[in-house]
Amino acid sequence: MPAMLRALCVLPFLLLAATAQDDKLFRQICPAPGELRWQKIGWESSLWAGVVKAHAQKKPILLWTMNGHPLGLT
Amino acid sequence: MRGRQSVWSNPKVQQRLKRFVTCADEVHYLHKRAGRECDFFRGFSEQGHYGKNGPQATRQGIYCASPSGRFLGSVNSNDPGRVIAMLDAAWAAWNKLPKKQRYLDPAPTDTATGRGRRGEPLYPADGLACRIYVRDLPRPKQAPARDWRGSAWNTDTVWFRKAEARAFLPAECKVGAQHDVPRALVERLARFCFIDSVRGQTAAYESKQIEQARLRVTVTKREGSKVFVRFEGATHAKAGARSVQGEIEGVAGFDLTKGRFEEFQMTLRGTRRNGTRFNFRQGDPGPAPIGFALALADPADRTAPAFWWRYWS
Repeated sequence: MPAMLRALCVLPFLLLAATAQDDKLFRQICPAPGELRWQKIGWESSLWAGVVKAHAQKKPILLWTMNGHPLGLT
Repeated sequence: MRGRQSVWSNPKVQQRLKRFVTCADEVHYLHKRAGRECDFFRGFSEQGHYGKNGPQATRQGIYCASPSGRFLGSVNSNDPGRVIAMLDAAWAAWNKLPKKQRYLDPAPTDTATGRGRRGEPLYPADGLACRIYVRDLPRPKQAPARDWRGSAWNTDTVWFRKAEARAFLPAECKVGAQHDVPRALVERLARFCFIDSVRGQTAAYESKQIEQARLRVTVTKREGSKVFVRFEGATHAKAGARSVQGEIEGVAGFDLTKGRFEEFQMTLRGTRRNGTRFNFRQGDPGPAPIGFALALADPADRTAPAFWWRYWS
């Protein structure tokens, strides 16, 4: 079998292997479900959205505020 | 950032939070800027845990307030016990507050906030919005730190407008077609996203500090209007002794009819060196492996990128 044809036969498997490695790294970096429990609270992403919602729900406000948005890079 | 795990994931804290409307926001904006929500914040924060530290001191922390802006309690701590104590005290203060003093009159209904001073109004609804995750990768001959640093990770978002998102693909999306993504878009990733924020905030890179920013896209499949691509590239950002350098890989699917990505998965496997003031790399200068992952953000997730104001300036 010519060398080029042999290479073309191998290429799909190489791409599959590379994709599998990508997936493994992707899963390794992304947070596990247990690491995202803090998001389940349901945060309004601005203080004023919280003020409006608090009036509608007749509840007090809890504000979590940090250097960098707490729901983003902080 | 540690509080995400130690405080906000605590079941006893979460149980108490059901009594409150929970919101999160950036403290420098609230403390220093003008506008109704900033005035509202200063109205109660000055009575809080850092109010006596002077106007230049941070106001970071957790605050409880009535919808009318009356102070109920505050603390700045990653200790769930201290947060629980504050929540209980704030709830007691709320119940003691006369109902006439609890709300603004009239009640606000408009959630629009300071355009030009906030990033959220710039959300690219017809473009590409991704979540980024960053984490230390295993070091071959060193066990991870036993404290919070060993499992630390951080997150951010990155945005691309509609035309920018389309620029990730070749003009003609035939199988096998290859395309180099415009450097300006790859630089956005290198400058603002592929930064070592694993343990805390860090600085972005300037454009002149980007020594390499390349991303090649190959069309791997077409199914009608859907184009599937593979990414391959590399970035290298260097500011003095601080740097992040790595290789990009990924896959994505773009719908030409809808004009947007419907699948997106990108990683950078890299090496980081040294740190900045607040990213807790003292005693850990590297070089050490670091990993970044990008995925499509939930459409409801409108958290602005950390450096949004530098994207299109």
